[in-house]
Amino acid sequence: MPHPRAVGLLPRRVVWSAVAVVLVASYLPLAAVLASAMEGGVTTVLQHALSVLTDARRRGLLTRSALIAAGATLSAVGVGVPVALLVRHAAPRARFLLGSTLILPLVVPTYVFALGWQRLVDPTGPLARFAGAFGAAGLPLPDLATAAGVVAVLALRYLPLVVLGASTGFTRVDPALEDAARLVHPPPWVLARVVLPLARPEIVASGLVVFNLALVNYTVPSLLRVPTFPVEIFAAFSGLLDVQAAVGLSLPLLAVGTLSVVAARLVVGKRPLAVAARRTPPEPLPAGSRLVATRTALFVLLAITVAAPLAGIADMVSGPQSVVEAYRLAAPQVWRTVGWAMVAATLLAAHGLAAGHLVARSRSLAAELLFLLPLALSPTVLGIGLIRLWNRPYLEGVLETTAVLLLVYVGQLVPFTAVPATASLAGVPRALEEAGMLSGMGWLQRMRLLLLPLAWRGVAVGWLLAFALSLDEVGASILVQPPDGETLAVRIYNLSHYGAAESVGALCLIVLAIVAVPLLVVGLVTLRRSSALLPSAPSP
Amino acid sequence: MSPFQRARTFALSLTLSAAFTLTGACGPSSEGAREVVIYTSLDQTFSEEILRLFEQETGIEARAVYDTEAAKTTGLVNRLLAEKDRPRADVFWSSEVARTLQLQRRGVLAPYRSPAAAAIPESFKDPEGYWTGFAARARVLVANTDALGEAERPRSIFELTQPRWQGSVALANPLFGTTATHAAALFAVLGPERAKEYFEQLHGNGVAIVAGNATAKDRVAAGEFPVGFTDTDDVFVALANDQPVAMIFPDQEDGGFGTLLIPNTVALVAGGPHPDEGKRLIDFILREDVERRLAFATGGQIPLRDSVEGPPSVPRLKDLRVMEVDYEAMADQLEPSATFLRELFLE
Repeated sequence: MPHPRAVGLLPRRVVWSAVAVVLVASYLPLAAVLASAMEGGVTTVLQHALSVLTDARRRGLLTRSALIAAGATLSAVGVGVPVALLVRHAAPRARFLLGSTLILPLVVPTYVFALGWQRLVDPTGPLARFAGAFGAAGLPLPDLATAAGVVAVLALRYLPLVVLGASTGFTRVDPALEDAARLVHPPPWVLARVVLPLARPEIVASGLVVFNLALVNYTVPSLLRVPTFPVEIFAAFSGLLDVQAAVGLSLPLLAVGTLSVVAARLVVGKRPLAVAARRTPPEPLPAGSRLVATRTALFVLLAITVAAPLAGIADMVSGPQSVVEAYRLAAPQVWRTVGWAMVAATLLAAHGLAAGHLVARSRSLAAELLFLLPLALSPTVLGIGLIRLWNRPYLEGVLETTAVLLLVYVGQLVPFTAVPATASLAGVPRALEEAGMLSGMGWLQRMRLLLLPLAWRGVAVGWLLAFALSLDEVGASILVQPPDGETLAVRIYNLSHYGAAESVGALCLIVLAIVAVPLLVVGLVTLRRSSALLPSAPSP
Repeated sequence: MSPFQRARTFALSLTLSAAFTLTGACGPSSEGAREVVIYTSLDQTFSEEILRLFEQETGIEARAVYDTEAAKTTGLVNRLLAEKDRPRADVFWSSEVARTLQLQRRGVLAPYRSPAAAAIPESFKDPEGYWTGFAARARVLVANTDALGEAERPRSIFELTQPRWQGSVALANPLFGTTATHAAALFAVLGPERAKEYFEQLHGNGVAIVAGNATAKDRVAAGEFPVGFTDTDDVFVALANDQPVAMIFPDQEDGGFGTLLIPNTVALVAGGPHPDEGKRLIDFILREDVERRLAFATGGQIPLRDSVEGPPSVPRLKDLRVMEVDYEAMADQLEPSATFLRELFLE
């Protein structure tokens, strides 16, 4: 699998370790489930897979799911890229605040995020009450229980991924290059022909992640009562306990996911990418009408993407006492989940660096697919696969401790660290590494002294994503968490089904507070590095 | 080692220690300690308290995995099926009966006739001892008291197909939880054709599918729908919170169809690691005082034994007209009814 061009720069053992991690954590559980489903008859599984061609209802559901995923991707990219551009031109402190705030909704569990929106636009919800207080009672509110509603909620849910990806991509654009282009071309031309093409790998990569996440998402369409293909799969798994049907039906989704990777590769192409020699942040916008318009646009966006869902969640909580009480009851779950999420994010970030290096240097489609396709892996399939794989006498103990959560998080989240790392490393010239080799630097030194300083944003983004998404994981955790080893996400999920909205809201606020810490740290590091790169102010 | 390197090593050690401290050592008990592993879908609020009492009384540690019966994830049943070749649980305590029957049919359960269940009517026990029912809920209608006066409220689930209730009824996803059980029971009692006709009429009358029974109750309480299908425990919780709702036991008139009773079920897992402790836990759960405790809890579970008294708000079994359903026949209908309803509601 590893390509010779990549192996030359990293020791074989490192490359193979990166491959082994994804094989063991993501693909072996899938193989275990496939094998058990095939025991009942290969033909039955294939018949279910091929039913999307013969059964009009299933074909319709798959088409709807693909359209919803495409709609959510286009909406998230359509809004996220301009937002990242606006953030890029903000002053350093504002950039830090905006960047951190925009990512915040990502850490709210998907189910609760959708619930928050549903509550917000409910005829008795905060928006209706707000409108009523200002004499606009009876204001028509959007109906989210439609395919368009699912697209909107998914796009808002995954918008931070695009903002993060595009922001990372824009750091590769040397403002000097932009300034030079602006001397001969108008700004729209510079944006379309210089800035966006340079950030294209990160933008496309984030779009790809959004597409695949939206494609397999069960929670949002299920809550909003919109039938989709993942809902059909889940009905087979849970309603009918038909593993063969569920596995067979998962295969078309995997095929659509593979097609999306190929399509993304065609969009990005193989062109070598220009790299900013000196990563000077662009100048903040000068005071004037453009600045006012930019601030207004960002304010509106923050209101829609961050304040609105958080208001929906805060509306569930009656006061600070509820938060204190919820914490008192769920403290073990909180810290258990945070601890394993930290460990998983750190391991995944290291893995992402090696995997990203392999993909960026080899440009091999097989390697890219290897690290991306776990995106299309259903959490339920992963959970069942982990049980089938690890529940053996000679592996006694693996499923007995909460360490199994590490397998759950790594198995699902490999793409979230590999993709941003690949995009960032693709911008680091190969010649730089070769020069390091010639000067006698070992691979660890090259990683630490050459690659990390240039690609740290991709690694940091990957860490944040892995950490935040670990806190949201339910589907596989609920199947493998050991007795008395409940995770926070599972607790929130169970509470939401018991109708304990107050506790759900309070726990979500606690999660937000916890995730704000690493966000703050990454943001401050970015701010410090950006400030260090800015030219010093002239002395008075 | 330079001061920088020492600081770096210290920081790394600190991070790892913090992470491992936070994660905690949540593993099996130390060697020699007695324990039992239970998977339960009864609300953790109620089941946890009973398990702690068991621990205090027996000294056996009860290690639990909790789930919701709404099963929006595949949950405990799929977990038990996946673990079938090497079970890790000893006891399965379900808040309903249908999933237990599915597990029995797939060979996950072992027979055990608990002496504590002697007074429980035979109709709530498996003839071969694979499971035992206790503390039941009933399928009921919940009505918003602000929207519907007492005389206006429906008395039968069959009224809800009439034009008067067009777009006015909330129903939890019929593929999961007790709504799926209710559907299978209707298929078994009415016959598949009449049951299909009933659900088609409900669908044609604009019944709104919501996330779960608790949501159905919440949306009725909020006034979005005047009436909804749910379970007794959800309505008891709403009444305890002074929400404007009323509970209707449907089809109670003389010669009426009756309401579906859904008992909790407890079963021994075949080949579980601690069978003796598992049996002791089942004996404990099936005790009269536990059933009484569940009757007095907020969910107000209906005792199946005459000798167990609940609060006045919880009806006695003998005062209810109960749908006469053979649970085995109901289990036969789980798959056909789910397949039909999936195509009707997930079109």
